[in-house]
Amino acid sequence: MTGKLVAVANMKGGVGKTTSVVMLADALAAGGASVLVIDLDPQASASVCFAGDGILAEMITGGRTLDYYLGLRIVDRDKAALTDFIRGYVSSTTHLGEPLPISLIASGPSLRIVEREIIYALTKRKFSMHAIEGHLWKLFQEDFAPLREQYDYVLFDCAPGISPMTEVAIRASDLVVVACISDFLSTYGLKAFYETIWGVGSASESMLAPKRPPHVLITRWQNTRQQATTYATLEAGAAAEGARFRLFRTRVPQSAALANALTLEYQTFANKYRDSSRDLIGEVITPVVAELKEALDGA
Amino acid sequence: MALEIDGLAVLCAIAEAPEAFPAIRGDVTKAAHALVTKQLKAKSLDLAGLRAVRNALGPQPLALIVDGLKDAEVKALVTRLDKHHPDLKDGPALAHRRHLMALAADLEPAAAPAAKPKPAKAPAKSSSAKSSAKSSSSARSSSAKVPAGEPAPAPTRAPARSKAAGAPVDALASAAMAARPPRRPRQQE
Repeated sequence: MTGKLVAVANMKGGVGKTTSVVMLADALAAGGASVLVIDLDPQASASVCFAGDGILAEMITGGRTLDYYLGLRIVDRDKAALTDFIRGYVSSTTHLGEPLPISLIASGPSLRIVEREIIYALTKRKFSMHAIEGHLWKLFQEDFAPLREQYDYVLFDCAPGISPMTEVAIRASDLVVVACISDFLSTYGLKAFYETIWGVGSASESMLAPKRPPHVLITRWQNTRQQATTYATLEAGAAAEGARFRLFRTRVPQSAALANALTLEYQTFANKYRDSSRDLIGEVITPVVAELKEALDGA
Repeated sequence: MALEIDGLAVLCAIAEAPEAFPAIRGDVTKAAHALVTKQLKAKSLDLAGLRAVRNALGPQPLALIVDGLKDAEVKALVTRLDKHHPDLKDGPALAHRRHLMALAADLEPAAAPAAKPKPAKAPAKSSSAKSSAKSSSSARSSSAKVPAGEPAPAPTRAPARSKAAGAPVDALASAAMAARPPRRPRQQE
């Protein structure tokens, strides 16, 4: 099995990254794929969406979260196997009578502190900034990238603001999905994000540029004049010669069903994404997944 | 001269030439869901009917439509089709869906338990007791079908969710956010 690594990211917060991760993980798993979600955000939104508050608390107190792993491996230079930190079959959603095959590497609020600890510890060991990046890159290639042998898809729910670990995941993934609202501020943030990761001089000796340009997924779409105008600009940018980004043809609408999908109530995939005003599965989720696969096949 | 379309013939025609109906592609899925759902929720549906639906659609489309039914609807249907099964009333929603699909395939419903010996005839009641029993029994039968002489079932509650939903009492209450990781073996101060 050679799975695909997909980072869902944006420097801006509140644009629907976690919603997109949950939706994509559920849909890919309902389609029969094995999916691992890695939560890189100290807010732990994806973790709590899949595991629930109680199980996440248990994982944190049991030292079974990403931050604990990074502390062991980088700060303390202890041996630890990343696979020991995976919680299998974590989703309470079912499809055709079976739980969705979604696994999780959870994060906790301490990730923010551990990422600082990493910088302090490596600086103390006389690592330069580039050397720190290189160290994280090496760790990612040794420990995270091999997970593609166990899962069809590894989805990274990236933190807004781009932490060092998030940046490594973005650069090393097969595809970066940029969740973005079609409005002024979100697309302004998209420009900053592009310049940081894909812009001239953004790659270094220690970390490579991402394999493909970012694929922008419009989220929280509402057919207002402002959103339509911004979308037209994005569409023109994606269609231009030498385009710096791609645009998913399908837009994810503002939907109460998608917001509810982040809750933990047991439900079937069909009921979780039932939206009385539209065929969310047939008209949105299925085409987005098809486009994701199409982009990955080209990656 | 026909006075109305033959709905089945029109649906077949749409299915055979979908390219002639591009604007309703999404509606076709919705309509198909709605039609089969209505058939599954029909009071007249018995086990043979369920199996006929499965044979007509195939197991996967039926399972997808069953997944779209509400938990309560699946429970009502499965407990009606397999009314003597001992574990269905309190089982989880996932078990109801699985059991319904198993019944649709070839699983036979549980047999009725052996009839209990009839209790000895109760002594004659006073007229006031009789009338009160009558009113209570009629109240029961209006809310739920309970055989006369048997105690009314306790009001059924939705099974507890494994991961509780709904708004917490304290908006800031969270076990995970209050949880602290253990100290790492070589963690520095």
